Amino acid sequence: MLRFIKNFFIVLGNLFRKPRTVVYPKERIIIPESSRGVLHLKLDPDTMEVICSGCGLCSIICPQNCIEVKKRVEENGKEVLDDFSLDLSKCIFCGNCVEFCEMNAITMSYQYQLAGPKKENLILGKSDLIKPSGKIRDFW
Amino acid sequence: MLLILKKIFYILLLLAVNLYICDYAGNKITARMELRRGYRITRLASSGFPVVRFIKDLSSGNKINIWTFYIFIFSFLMWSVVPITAGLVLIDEEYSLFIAVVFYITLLIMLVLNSSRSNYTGVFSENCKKLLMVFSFIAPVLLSILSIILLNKTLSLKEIVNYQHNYWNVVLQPLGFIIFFISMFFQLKLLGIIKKSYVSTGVYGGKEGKGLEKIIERLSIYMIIFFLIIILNVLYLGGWQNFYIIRGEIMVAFKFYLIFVILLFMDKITGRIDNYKLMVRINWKFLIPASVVNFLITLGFFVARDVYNLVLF
Repeated sequence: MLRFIKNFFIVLGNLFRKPRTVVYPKERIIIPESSRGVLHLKLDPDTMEVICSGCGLCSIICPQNCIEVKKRVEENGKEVLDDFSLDLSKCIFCGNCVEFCEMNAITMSYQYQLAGPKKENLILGKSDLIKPSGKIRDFW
Repeated sequence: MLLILKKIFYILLLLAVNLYICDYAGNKITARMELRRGYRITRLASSGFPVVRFIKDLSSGNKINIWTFYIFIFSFLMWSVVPITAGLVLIDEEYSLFIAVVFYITLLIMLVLNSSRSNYTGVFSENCKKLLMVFSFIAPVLLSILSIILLNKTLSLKEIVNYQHNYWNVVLQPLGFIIFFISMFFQLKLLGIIKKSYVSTGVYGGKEGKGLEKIIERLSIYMIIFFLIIILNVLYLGGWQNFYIIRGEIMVAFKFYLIFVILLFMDKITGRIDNYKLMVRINWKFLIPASVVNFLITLGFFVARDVYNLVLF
């Protein structure tokens, strides 16, 4: 009986509280800070080139083996990133790659709306991961 | 003839308006109680939500079978004898309470039987459970009504209201009122206004109708709830008696919506009671014994007063 009385006051209070849900496509709320979305390859602000040197540590450390890194050596002997692909169908957004990156070249963006009609679209290339739009803190 | 047509029109209009208000308010209030915004469709179409849902359901199928048609007819038939207010009744019958209860029980049975149509195995036991539950909740209602009949010595709903010009029956029959209300509340839970009902959807065989069939099923469930609220009002809460300077019709509307909102509140407070055993236990261990005790007390009082002249008032 006490439980019912307690429930009564909760239900009564709820009538005067703000709803916790939103009608999704129409209304959105800011996603929480430090949420983990798709990877983002950082760019050097001076040269506007990718910071990543293609060392491949992220692909080694990835528990799902969803990262593939290819590197090439330039004429001056410097190692640069040739290709970077991320398979979103495997990624569990654990954030290990970000933590282990020595160059601090990867961050997690706030991009989370990843559903698509084709599985092929879930494999993101270097150009997709550089796009700044994924870095912006979105609303959901 | 014209007068009857006018009355039919008024009754149907009143029922339609009440359906609209209760469907909209029920969904809105339930959503707010759960801290939800409400259905998306409610937000888009705002107060047009019941109409939008009606059209949406209708578009998914318009075929009905003969049982659903009977349910549709019976859900309106009960309003021919139940007086909503003093003037709003088609047939002013001396046994209106008896006829109304017969219509109500028939409608409930037809609802259960309608959900029993299935080709799956294991339906029989499931439907036996449903029948047991439905009838175990009808029993206390009938016993409470019997006590009222004893008290007012009439089967006419109009006369029962007229007898309450000094005291409402709730003063003389508080236990009966509580039993009727709880039983009514569990019937609401069983039939399910906002949620899917246990009667129409079961674990094995019961199926949820679609299209027009679903609309009629919902309509009949609303009609049963409306009927129970009106009967509770008439039997215990003074019906359309004026309350000081407030007119009776306004009082009926006020009490109707008050009871409806209280029922919604209780629905949320008690949470989900899916286990039919729990409901049967509540019923067989509390409601039916209490209603029997109430009936026996009432009967004993009248026997002591009228037969043995033991009570001097």
